[in-house]
Amino acid sequence: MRWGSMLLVGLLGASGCSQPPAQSGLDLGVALGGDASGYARALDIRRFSFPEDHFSHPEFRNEWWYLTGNLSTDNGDLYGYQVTFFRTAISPQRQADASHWRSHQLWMAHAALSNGQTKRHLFAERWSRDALKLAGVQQAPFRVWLDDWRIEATQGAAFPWQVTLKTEQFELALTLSPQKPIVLQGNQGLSQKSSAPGNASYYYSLPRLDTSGTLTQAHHSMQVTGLSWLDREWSSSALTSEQVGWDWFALQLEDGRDLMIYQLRRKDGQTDPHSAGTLIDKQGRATALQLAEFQLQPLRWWQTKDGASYPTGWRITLPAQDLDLKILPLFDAQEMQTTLRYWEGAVIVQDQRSGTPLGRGYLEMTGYVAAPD
Amino acid sequence: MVSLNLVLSSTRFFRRHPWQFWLSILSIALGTAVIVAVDLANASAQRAFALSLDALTGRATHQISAGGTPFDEGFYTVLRTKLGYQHSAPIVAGWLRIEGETFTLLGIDPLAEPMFRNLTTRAAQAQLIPLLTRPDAVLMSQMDAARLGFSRLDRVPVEIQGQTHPVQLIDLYDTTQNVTPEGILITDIATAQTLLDRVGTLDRIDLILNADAAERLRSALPPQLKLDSVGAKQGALKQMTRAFYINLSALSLLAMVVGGFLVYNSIALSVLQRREQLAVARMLGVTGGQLFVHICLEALIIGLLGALLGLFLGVGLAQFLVALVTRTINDLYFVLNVSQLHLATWVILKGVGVALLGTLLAAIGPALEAAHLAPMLVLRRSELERQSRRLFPRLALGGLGLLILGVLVAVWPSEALIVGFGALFLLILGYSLAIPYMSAWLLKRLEATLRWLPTTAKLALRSITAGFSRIALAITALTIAVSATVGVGIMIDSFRHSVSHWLELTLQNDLYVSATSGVASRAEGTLDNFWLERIAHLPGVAAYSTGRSVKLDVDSIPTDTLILSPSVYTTQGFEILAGDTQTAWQAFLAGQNVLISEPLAQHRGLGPGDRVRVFSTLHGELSLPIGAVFRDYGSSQGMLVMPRNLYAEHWQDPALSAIGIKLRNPSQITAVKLLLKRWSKEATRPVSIRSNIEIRQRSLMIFDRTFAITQVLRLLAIVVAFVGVFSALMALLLEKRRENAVLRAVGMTPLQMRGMLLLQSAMIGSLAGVLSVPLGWLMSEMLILVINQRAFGWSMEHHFPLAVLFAAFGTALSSAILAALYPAWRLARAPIASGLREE
Repeated sequence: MRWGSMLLVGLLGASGCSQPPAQSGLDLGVALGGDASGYARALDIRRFSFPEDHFSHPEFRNEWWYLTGNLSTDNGDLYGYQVTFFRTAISPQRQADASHWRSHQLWMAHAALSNGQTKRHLFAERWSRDALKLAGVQQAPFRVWLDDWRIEATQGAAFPWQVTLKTEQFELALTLSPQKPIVLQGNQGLSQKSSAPGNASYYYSLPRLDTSGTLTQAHHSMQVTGLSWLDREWSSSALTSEQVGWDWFALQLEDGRDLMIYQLRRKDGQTDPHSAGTLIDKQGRATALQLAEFQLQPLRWWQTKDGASYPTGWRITLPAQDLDLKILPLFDAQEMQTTLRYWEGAVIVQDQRSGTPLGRGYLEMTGYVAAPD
Repeated sequence: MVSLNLVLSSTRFFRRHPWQFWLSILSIALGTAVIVAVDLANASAQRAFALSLDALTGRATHQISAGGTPFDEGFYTVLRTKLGYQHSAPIVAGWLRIEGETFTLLGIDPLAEPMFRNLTTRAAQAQLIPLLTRPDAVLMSQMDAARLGFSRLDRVPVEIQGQTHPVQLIDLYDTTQNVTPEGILITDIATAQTLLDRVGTLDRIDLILNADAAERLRSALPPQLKLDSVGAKQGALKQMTRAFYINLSALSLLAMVVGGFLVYNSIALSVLQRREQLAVARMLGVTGGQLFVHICLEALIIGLLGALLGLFLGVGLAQFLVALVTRTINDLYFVLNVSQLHLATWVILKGVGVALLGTLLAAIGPALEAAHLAPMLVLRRSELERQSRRLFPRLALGGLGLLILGVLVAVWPSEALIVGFGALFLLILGYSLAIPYMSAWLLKRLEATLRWLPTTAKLALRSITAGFSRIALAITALTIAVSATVGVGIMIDSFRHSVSHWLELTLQNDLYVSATSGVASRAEGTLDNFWLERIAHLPGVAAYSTGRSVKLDVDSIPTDTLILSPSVYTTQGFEILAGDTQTAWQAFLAGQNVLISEPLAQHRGLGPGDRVRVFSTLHGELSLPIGAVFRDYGSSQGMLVMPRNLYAEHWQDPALSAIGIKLRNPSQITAVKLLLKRWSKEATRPVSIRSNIEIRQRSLMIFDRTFAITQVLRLLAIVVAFVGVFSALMALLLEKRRENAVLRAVGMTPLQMRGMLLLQSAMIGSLAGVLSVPLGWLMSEMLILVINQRAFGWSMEHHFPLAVLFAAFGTALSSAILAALYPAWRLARAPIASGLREE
């Protein structure tokens, strides 16, 4: 469940009508709900097959390849990174046109680097259309790209995959190899986001990818290693107008377990019953978690310079698993001040009582900033 | 107390002489109006130009292009995905017409834009989805829409290359920022490619780069593409219009001179008339210093009132001039849309400043004189006249000095236009200083020769001589105004004559089939393929030549280029000005050289034997020798002519823009034209079929349109001069009230009186008419040999039309007589008794 797709749809005004978009462009419900007619819907459990499902599903409105990870250098410096490719269709079909530029698929990409030493968060955004091979997905060898940012395989879609990207402030060249098999989220990959049929996505993850490579900043390159998490999700509608945002956690614990949890927040301040999670054991076996099985509690709030507040520290309790976790940010200022704003940052996992380090992960928080005019 | 009295005396004077007051105001207002109007028109056009340049290039520092021809869009993908230049935006741009107005269609990728153009980004992002998904969606500025009467979501037919396409104005972009360029239609690049028939190609790629990145990119470019800095490109465009703007500025200078005379005239008159009162004031204890300050202040107040009125008049006039200026720019240079007047502060300050300064300068002389008046002694008119006569020879001597200086400056070996204008200014100033002396001399000769005249006529002559000091001013103003019409008239006539002659020579063929772009008068389109084949097989065709109009980068400056495949008649159509005709043509036919037009040679300092660097799409930069320089009035920026075989070697563009047909029997023109017209119905691209006579007429029409603005300004000069004569006559009339009453009392009829005044005025007009000819001729020489040569690079044959001379004389005479009508009417009605009582 990722924020970026909403960015796209919200920004673009939800549907391809000729009327100007309403200024409530960031009402999440409208954005991820909206009129999905003409698109395929996530109605039923489907059979996933790979590598095909790594590729694009253009009949659905939104889709993303969402990579986050925690890295360390040899001398113990901590970094977090994010590389995301969002695809969104602005109309169900391509308008017939002689021009190769005519396209109904848009791409947006975000890249971010969190430096634990300097506590600086660098980010960049790119846009393109699915035309002239400026951005898109290629099957053999597998590649998803926008401009010169890309995630790609060298042969077919086989691992290891390479991440290559260059912004004005940093460069990444990473190699990714999965330690665990693919995990289907929700009900066998069908992730229901609100009660209406079809308000769901197809969602799978590669929760633990061994990561190594080079990080370059200011002409200075360093070797980094760590763990990454890849989320793949596609849908045509998901939320209702009652839902205002969510808090999403992807945590890799030192004991070999991985935990994904998200809560959907409602306008009335309640947590939506469709909030859910998955606990993955060391061998890669997944256990679905319902809202009743976990508790989320903000511990501390951080305020941006312009007054927006994010809960950057959390307590997560899973009584049945005997887990009581304290989630702290690598540092507070990891807000993505991109076209539309959200908080996406590296976090450290501790034992709530003893403070013992238990792992690292990524936290995403949306719906805390009013839509810009 | 004293100052109050002075103020009262001034108000009383002007209350008793309201026309004097209003004429002063009007004179100053007219002078200010002309200056302000020309400057405003000029500034508005320049600003519109700057804005549209800005909107079109935005924050880009560099551009990738193929030297003017569209190039394959594939390189853009390489640029972004392989070379990693993400601050890059593809552009497809072209022209279209909406309800007869020309617009630039700017095809952009809204997703690549944010770095480049604020305006387009804001506008396009608000409408991103319809813009990207709908094949007919365009954005128009609110200002343009309001002018054309369109609203949001209107469907509008646009004409592109002669064909009409419907588009929808999906939104009107914001124009509240006051930096909105006019005449730009924004659309998605896909829509632009399809509408403009340029699928698969880009016109340019805008980039934001630092010097290092630019160097790296330059070395990575394929040979058919080049990277230029935007500054250099814009510089070339600005250079193009510089000459035109400078010419306009010259006209404003002229308006300033004439306006200045007028202001001087009216202020001086109002002081001269009050000499008695002022002397009395001195007697009552007012010091000379007080009088001086008072008169200067009075002049300033009048000047200020006049200047303010002039501002309003000027803004009104500017609206009209802007339209003319835009027309000319579109005819001669490029598409520019100006409908908004830009009220630049400096223009207003300059207009008011010149008016006030002129008023003050005009007042200083009379004010000084008033300050030095002996309290008891009232100088007699005759005394005053004697004084001013002593001044005339000295003025004339000074004028002669300035004239000589002016000629010296003119022949000074400089290419600078401003120096040419300096010379022109010196010339006008010098000559005008000599006018009083010359006219006095002429009058004396006249009196001596015309002894046989009837008494009334002699009286009329004498009375001019008697009040000469003020009449001299009117004559000077009229002379300058008329000479300006003579000078500009001769220049335009010579120019038109040369152009007409050149057209006759150039249009060697009987019929021309040319692809019109639908914009301005250029044949920049492409002809359908069938034309050449059919024309080649047409019976009765003696020969045909083909041309292709392209814009190539010559020495890095986009330059109009004609790709010529000549026929045996073609060579006769070129008048070679420099270079050996025979060898130049031999090399040209062999594809070994290029020819350049006179303006190109002039502007870039090129000549036969020099080489030019031309950017070719197949082989990059070529160095080509210049064979000869030919006469051409077609493009003031200059034109390069390249042989077709040379072009085919280095460019992949077999298309033709025009075919010239020479018939064996010219009487068949009409029949062949009809046949061609019939064929044109099969054409998919717009085409125009014209005989050489039609082209000539059309060209001359555009020529006349170009000079419409100068005609308007000439008319204004005359109006200003007319007001000058009018005020001088009115002054004369009032001053001579007693004298005239005596004449009436001794038996002169009102009719005779009127006749006398009209005769006087006719005399003034004739003098101005005669005197304006030499100055006009000098001005025309200056305009032809110095100004035009330097500004446009055009040389022309001198043509001295008698008609212009007669027109000048007629203008001077008729405006003087017209100016006398009202004074004459008043003169006849003036009561005798009260006139006599003034004694």
